[in-house]
Amino acid sequence: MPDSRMPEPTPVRSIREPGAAPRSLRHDPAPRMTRPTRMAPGPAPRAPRSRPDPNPLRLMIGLAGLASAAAFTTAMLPSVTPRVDAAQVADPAAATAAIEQPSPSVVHVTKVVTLKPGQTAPPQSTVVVRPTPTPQVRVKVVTRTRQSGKP
Amino acid sequence: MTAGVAPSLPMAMAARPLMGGLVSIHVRAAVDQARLERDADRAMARLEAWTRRLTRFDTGSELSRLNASRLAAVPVGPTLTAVLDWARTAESMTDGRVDVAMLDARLAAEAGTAALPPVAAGRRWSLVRGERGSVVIREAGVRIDLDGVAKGWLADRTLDLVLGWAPGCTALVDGDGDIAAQVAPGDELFVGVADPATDEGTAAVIRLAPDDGRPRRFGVATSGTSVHRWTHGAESAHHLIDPVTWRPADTDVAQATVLADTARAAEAFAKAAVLAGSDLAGEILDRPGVHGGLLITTRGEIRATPGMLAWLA
Repeated sequence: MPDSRMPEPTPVRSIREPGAAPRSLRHDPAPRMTRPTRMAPGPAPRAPRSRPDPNPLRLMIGLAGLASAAAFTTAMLPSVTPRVDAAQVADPAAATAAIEQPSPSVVHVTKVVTLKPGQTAPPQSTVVVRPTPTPQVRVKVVTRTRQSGKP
Repeated sequence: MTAGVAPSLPMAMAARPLMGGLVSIHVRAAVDQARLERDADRAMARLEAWTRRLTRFDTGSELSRLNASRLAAVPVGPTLTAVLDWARTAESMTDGRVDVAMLDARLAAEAGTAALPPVAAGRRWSLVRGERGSVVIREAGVRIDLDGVAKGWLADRTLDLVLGWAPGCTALVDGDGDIAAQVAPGDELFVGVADPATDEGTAAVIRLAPDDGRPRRFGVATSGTSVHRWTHGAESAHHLIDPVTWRPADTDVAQATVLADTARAAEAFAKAAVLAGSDLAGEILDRPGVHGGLLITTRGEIRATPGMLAWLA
């Protein structure tokens, strides 16, 4: 015969220690002025997670930004190396010598300005007269003498 | 005193394919332009008629009938008589280098066959003028090719015709490269010299202008070995026949251009300069009636005689 009796209930084990007050009753809303000298028995409170100090990273990001800004600024600024067009310089040899100076901080380049009709040369400037090109006369040829049969 | 002609005036022109190339007539004068156009057209019609008598490419021409005749003495008309008379003169002027009785040698060069044995031109044919016309007397088998001799003569003759209608004008007759011109005072004409190395290139430009206040006549002609050429196997031939060897001339002159008083003289001396070669051309071109020459050698050199330099633009 099956046993129709209900099983004997297993006593529930309380998570509270015997004789401990209910949790709500343990809360003490009044601020403690002194550190308790003894923790109440029970599970240990979770320790706060340790986080890295953000200041070094912030410093590194800041330095990287400064470096990038400096690079962009350098690229946008015109080169400090003088650009000399040999065709516009009266003395190309002098211009070449000026370019080949070792790391000059300032290079003075003689610039040539082509004066338009009516313009006058600035004071202290040297005026060089451009040689007149040989005139080429275009003529209208009536016909061509050629070997017979040639177009 | 002849009135001047301004270079700014338009030129009347007539042109048509003729003589195996292009022939054109240009006229400029201070008269009605429509009249000049009519004169140019009339002159072109006469030039075409003369050409039909002198060409060897038409079997019905007077020249072709002469070449085909088996008679020893063949009567010829006034036009052919005039050209043959000039051919004799050109032969004498060029020390025998211009010889119109070498048609068979030219055809042999073109076909790549052996040329006939050379016979002195003076013994092959003669022209006898009489009261009832002229007669050509030839050795058997002698055939005549007028070629450039006729072109120069035709250019001069056509210019005479135009100047008879419009004396004192500026006019130019281009007979397929052989040019006769008259330039009026105050006017000038520029004639290009074709570059033999290219089809359209110009090697130099000649300026034609009078220098004494009167109309002046000129002749400009070019001859050479670079256009009419034929290849037979490994050998190459051209149409300028050496009257001594009866074969294409062995010359280092690819093209010669001559400025002279007339187109017919310029043509004869240009041909003679090519046949003579660059070493002897200077002596050939130092003749009365020749103003200068421009030689282009097979090495690509351009040589101008001292007299030619004054005429180059």
